[in-house]
Amino acid sequence: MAAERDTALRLRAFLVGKPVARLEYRPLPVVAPRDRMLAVFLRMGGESSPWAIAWKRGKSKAEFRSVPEARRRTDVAGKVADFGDALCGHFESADGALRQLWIPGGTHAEMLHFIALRFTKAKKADAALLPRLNRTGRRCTQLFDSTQNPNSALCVDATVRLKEMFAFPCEPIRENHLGFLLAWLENGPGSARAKAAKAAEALSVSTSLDPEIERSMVSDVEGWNEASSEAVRNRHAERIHNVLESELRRRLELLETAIAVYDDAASENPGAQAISSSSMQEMARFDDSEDFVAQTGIVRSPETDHSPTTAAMSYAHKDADMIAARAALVPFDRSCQEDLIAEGSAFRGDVLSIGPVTIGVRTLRTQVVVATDGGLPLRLRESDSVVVAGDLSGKGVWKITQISDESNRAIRSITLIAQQATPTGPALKRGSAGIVFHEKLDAELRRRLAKMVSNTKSMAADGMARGAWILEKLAEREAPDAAPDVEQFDGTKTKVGTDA
Amino acid sequence: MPNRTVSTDGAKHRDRLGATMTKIAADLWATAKSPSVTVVSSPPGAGKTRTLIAVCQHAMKARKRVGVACQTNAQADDVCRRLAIEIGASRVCRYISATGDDTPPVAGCHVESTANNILAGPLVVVGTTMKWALIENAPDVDLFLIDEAWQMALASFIPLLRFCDRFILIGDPGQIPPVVSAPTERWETSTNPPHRAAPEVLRDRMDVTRVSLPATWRLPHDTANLIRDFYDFKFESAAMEGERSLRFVAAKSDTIAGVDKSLDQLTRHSIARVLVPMPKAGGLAQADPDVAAAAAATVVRALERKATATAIDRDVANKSLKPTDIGVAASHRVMVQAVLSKLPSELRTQVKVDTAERWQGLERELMVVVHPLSSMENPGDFDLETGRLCVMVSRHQSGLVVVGREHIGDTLDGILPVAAQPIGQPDAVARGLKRHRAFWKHLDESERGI
Repeated sequence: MAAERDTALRLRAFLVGKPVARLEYRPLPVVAPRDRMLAVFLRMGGESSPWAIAWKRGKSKAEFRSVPEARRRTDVAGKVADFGDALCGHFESADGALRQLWIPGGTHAEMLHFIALRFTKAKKADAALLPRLNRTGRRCTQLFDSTQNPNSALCVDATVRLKEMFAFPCEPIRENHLGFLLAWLENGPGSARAKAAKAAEALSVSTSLDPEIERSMVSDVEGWNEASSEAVRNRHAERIHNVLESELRRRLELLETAIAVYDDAASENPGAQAISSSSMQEMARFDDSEDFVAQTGIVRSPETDHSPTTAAMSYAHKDADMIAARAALVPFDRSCQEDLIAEGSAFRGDVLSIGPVTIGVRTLRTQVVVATDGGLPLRLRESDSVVVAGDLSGKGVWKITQISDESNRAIRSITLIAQQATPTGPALKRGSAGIVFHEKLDAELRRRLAKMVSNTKSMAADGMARGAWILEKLAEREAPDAAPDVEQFDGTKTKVGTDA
Repeated sequence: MPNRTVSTDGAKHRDRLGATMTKIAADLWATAKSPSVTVVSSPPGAGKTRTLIAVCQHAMKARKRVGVACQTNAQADDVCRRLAIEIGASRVCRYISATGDDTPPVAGCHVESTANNILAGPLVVVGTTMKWALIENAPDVDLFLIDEAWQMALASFIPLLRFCDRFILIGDPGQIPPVVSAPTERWETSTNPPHRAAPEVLRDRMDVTRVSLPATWRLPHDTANLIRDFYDFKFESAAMEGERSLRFVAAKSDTIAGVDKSLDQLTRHSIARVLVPMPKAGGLAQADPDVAAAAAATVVRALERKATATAIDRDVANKSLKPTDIGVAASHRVMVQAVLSKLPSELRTQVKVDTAERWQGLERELMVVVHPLSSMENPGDFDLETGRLCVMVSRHQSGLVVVGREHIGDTLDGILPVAAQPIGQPDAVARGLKRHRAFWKHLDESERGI
């Protein structure tokens, strides 16, 4: 969102003393409870592995798993595998429906990434446990990726989605707390909401425990480690589990409330259907990749893509996803259109004239001249392509041929020529007012780029790409001593991936 | 005034540089006779397109076919026009998208959208990188030249490998990196980051032939010395010391203190600055009206004081500057808009005011630049990015005025880089900061006459 619009909305929220909607429609589908799984994590201070995990599928009872000592990797792996079985089962039993995983916030998304990094390529574990852990790692890679992708609804970060939906009367840094956001979204006068939000903020929702609570558990953790008998150990373990369960439960309840609030916030953007379809395709692609793993044993790195073609394809798809999500939502949501206007990627204007124009020798096209607010900054330039907001086909493309400002700069007139003989989209006529033209959001070009990269890879493998030798050079894994020098701030040079 | 001795020395200097350029083009062609990748690094205004055209001339003499990939349609049209002059329009084909404008950029030049329709025989086929990257079947070419290659991401380069086994990538490594809209964290530690400039990755990952162009033909002598820090190779200015100068008639009684002083300074150095005092109350906005007013006033004052440029190296003597000879650059669109609103209406259509991104590849006799850190008391990575500053301070042929708030020096002193880059990657922000500080220090020193 453009900084100016964000500031304006935030000021309005301060003025009315409650959150104000940023969007007209909810941009993401919320699936039925049976297709939903909720997950929350806790970790021990200084550790990255989960200390405790809770999950809940549909209307079934929540499951809680914890280990008394988060530093014992084998114990942790066992609990992660249990969680992984439930998680994989949730998505594998979708039976044609869209399935979702909901998490409370960013640190929980990071935990998914951590599980992916630790277990996707794990090689040492009990023979029965290892495939379950690897499978969990691969699924968490997919779900972590989903949290970074606006065109995916597979894994939903509740905090991010509420922040996207509402502008809150607070500093942006405070918006990262789910309890704080939910308190603001409760009914009541502004002062009561502010007080409730402040109180909610005092309780941790992240994967870290409140330090005081964690300190209170030290004696039990030490006691468990040093216990002389099984009975004593069990007593310590139970006490640890009870504290962790109560913390998990609170987070889980907040998450359930957040889903209900988000679901009620507004009706679903009709364009969100496209995001659902894309998510379904993502689920199918994951199933295919699981078959590929089973056949070849080759697993995509959860960290990065080293192969030049894999990296380029993923990047082009990511770029396409960013565009596709916008393309899906913008035609229906006027707030999204306002965002584009504030960014300078769109303009709103009144049609001054419309008529035929001849291009070249005999090509007949429609030309419109639109008067817009000259005071707004415009990123669009002459020869850029735009579409009329609300043109659901997205194919009524207009090319900007001239942008001219009146001498007082209050009015800017923009001349556009249709790229098709019969432009699609809302009918324009002289005097049509408040028409929004926005940048052409074409994800297909990026998808096509990914396809061409893929073709290059295939052609190179078949000896048909003339520049295959360059691809081979790029794909070579370098020896550590061949790592390139990297210039540091002070002018010294260090080797990539070394401390030298 | 510059004297003839300087001019004679300068002529010899430029003859030598011209000969070097000719040899570079011949060497590039010789290298491309076998499968190879050559990366040509160029300082601003060093004759990138001239080199590209010279290589095409060699190819035409050898009756070969060349593919040229440009980064925008405007650049592709411009290359076609320049090629038409040197090799004849009939040897040039503008390769367009199926829905593209089929008007030839120059009379006699072929325009085609499908590979099968492109003529056989020696030809230079010019299209955008995206056109080349997205087609299934390409016209047969013996050599691929990529213009403004630092603006092309690796992901867009890879599909070109289907069609050719020898490439020459020409570009300016000091410019703004390729536009990236998607989050790129996933690939920051990749050995082949797909979002990075293709020449950079190729240089890091394989044994490419590296060539650098020897001199900037655009920038005055002292500017070339200053911006050399932005580059990892040496170059000089085709203009020798004293060969470029600006003159202004004396300011009258209605002197605008900072502005007139800076313009006077331009008669001695090619770079000067206008510092705008901090507001007495309130904070600073991105669209800073005072700085915009100072930038606009500099343009107006330069014209009122009848700016004239002399460039002995370009055979320009006492050229009166017109509004079209002056440009204004700013980092942010809101600032561009603010400057435009402060310019008198008659100048708005003649003085080009735009963002650094849009100034790439363009030049003016006199440039007025809003410093990227002006009004940015807590600058972010975007503001500290060196490409933007480098582009802004390398568009002028005779003089540059940098306009900014007084806080810039203190802001630069106060920044502590946090080295948030991924492991193994260079600290681009800190490096940018170092260059920003060096640039600001230079302005301090030249103001004090050091």
